[in-house]
Amino acid sequence: MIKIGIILLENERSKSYIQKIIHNKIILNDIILLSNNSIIKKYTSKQKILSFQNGFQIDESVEKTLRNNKLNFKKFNFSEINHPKLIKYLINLDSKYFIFSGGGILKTEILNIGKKFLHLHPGIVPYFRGSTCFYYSILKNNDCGVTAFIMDESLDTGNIVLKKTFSKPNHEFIDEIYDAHIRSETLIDVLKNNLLDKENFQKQDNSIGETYFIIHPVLKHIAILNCLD
Amino acid sequence: MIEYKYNQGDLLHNPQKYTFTEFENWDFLDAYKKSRNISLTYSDISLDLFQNLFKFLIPNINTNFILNDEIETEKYLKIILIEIFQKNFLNYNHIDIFVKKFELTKKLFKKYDKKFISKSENYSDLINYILLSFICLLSYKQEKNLKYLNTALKLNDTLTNQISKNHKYLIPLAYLVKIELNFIDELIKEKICNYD
Repeated sequence: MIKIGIILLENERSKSYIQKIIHNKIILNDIILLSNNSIIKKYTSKQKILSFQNGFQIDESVEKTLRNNKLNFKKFNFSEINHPKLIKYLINLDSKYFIFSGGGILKTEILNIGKKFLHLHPGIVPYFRGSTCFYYSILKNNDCGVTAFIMDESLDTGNIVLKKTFSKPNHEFIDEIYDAHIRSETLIDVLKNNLLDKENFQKQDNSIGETYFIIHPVLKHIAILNCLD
Repeated sequence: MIEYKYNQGDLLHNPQKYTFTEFENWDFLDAYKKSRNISLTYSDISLDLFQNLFKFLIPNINTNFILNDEIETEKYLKIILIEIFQKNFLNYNHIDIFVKKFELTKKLFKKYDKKFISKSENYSDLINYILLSFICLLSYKQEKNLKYLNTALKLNDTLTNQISKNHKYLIPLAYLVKIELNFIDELIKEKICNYD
């Protein structure tokens, strides 16, 4: 079995990743938490209920989940994925793959340490590359998708591990809950089916597709109102 | 009553980032539409919006637009527009360069070098924002690619923020906003069933 690690942050995405990994009894080789002790986010009761219905507890911090489940982890007091201390630490670990859950764009230095980074991108590539793709996908295709791929130096162009399509949500908490939910469901499929062991990845055709930029609030509202319709 | 806050403040110098924007239901769309109400005293916004805005921006099509090593943004964008109107040719490779430039920095510089690195400190020429907004709206009309409508909305936030009553660019802005609102209304009608 190939050794896999995860780099977590105190965000919704990481919460859903680690809680579903634990729930599915998936064993990781290395767990790293990047936490700069930023202000703890408050959630409404509706958000708490919805996240629970989507398989994770949004109001439980990543650190609490790790401690409650007696998992060993290394904590750094910063949240930058390219931090030299993190790079130095990763080099000496046995894991070949690390699950990425945010913290910036990977720069050349970290990409060249001999480790591979798995990203769960909320869009079906090559048609939905870039930012806030789930909103564009709702407006264009009336559904959403996630692509698991191995990160490279360009934006959303890495080799594809798995693509998965989801029905659009029926609530407005797309950034906080739906995004974390669909990414974590795809991650669990990758891990449960040992897709990283098989390394049967699909190369992307970088000559086609579309790269989107962060969505304007007017288009975002139309997409959410379409979901609530 | 909520207020549309994305065209407020000095957007040229302190641009909007548009990250994790709040959902405010139908009230938000109403506030947005109100914010686009250009107080225009002219009654000559013609029905043929695209053709008339083109004539306004490029009254003399025979102007000599020769390109040299340094890219002058206004000239370059006007060439793209002329190609669209004369040859019905949308050069998306070139359009996308300016879309990316604006999306990443929310600025359009007066000059760029051949590699599209800014060669000027000046990013205040509103004509460049007007030209790119028009090109994006024409691209959206042609392809229905939301990427272009998205950029036009952001450009028009900047323009409605910078252009006030009696400004020399009030008429082209009124055209741009009218076109943008038409597209947004179309999209709402197409995507949301309970719209009235």
